Amino acid sequence: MSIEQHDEWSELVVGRSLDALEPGDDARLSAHLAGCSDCRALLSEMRQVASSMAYDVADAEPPAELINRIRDALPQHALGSGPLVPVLADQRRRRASRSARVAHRSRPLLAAAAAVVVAVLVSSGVFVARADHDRDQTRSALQAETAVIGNLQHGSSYSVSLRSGGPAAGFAAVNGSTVDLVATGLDRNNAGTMYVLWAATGRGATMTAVRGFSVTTAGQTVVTATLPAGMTKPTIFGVTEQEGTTLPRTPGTVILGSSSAA
Amino acid sequence: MIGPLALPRARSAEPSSGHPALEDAALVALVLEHDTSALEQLYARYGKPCYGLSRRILGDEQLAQDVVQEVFLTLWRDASRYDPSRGAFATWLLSMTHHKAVDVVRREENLRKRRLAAEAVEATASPQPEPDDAAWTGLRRDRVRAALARLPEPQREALGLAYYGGYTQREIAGLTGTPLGTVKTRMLAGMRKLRGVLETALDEGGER
Repeated sequence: MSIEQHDEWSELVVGRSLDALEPGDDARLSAHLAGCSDCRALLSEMRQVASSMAYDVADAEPPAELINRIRDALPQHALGSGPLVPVLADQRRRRASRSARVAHRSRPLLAAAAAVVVAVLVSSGVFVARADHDRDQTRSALQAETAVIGNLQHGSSYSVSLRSGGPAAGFAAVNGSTVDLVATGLDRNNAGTMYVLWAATGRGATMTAVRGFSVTTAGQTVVTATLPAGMTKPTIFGVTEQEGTTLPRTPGTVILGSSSAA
Repeated sequence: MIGPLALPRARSAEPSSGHPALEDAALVALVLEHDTSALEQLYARYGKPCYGLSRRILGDEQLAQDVVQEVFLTLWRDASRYDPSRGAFATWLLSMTHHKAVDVVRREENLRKRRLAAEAVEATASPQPEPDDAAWTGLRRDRVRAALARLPEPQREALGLAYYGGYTQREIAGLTGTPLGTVKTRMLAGMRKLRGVLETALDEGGER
């Protein structure tokens, strides 16, 4: 290879390291890289140089909500790519740890919550055949819902039914400082908005934003959150859809809520 | 080869639970086994630089969050794509972040028009880093800025438009009124010089 040819490939390698190639050049370089170890080594090196330019950009704190969004999306992605058991084992481990803090059982509440879940699943057509992807996601949601019901076997836990003016329905399950929202019929949230779960300790008490979440797939939604510091035994819950990505101070229109919140 | 620009292994802002002392490669190995706490640890280390970079490129906070989410979900789905023998994890993760952010900015052409507003956000809304981070971040940023400052202006401009703007070589030629061949030559020369300056700085600093 002549020096001129070598430099031409080096220019394309640099372009690739900066994600700055036109599609045609990119394809040409890919074909060349398959047989040129020198250019592959140069690309690896130039990528490190390019990445160093990232350090000229100030770190920015992502909203706290983002890690929750990532957590929520994990099982769906893991199921889509195959490895089901480790993810569910991890979920069970975390939930078992949480359950271990509670000592007693409450069968009436468990039965009530189970009835709500059955109603939720039937009304949303869980048992209707779906495409594989949907089935995987449904299976994931069902597993999560089953875990929530399992937690309700413990004495200090309780659930609150949530209803809407439309097809959305669900319940909030409280176990100590943790609340699980199980819902169906929530549409995918609009771009630039998020759903927000609110809680209050009783009629007339201030509704407090517990956490935001996104719905990326129509069907079942299971969201786990920690109650705000100082809040104990909330009995009023609501779900709103609000603009932005930071938790608002006041709720908008309640889409789904307990009878006192809706 | 340069490589020592990786972030510190354990940063002060990391959660106390999980695997705070593990190196990146060990955490990636745990992510391969679908250990969620390992993923969260990596997010604690690199979520901020990834978000900062994608926000700089996109100028849109919501899209930047989407990019960061997709980056960490990609890591979760297929952590085996990271090969430790080919460089630091930070390099790989930031490269992926850059690539995904550039994909988005090219789909959303009008985003570029909003970049000036985004830079204003960058200047005014960036949180103050933790004290331990501040020292490291400041050193790292000073070093890169000094290296970029030593480039001739046309080279620095070409690299900046490509890396921070998401423009292709052909687009840069159009924007700057420069022949495409000259743009490619400038970028190659600029990257070679940047590599040399960074290596020299690291040798002088005697750092990892």
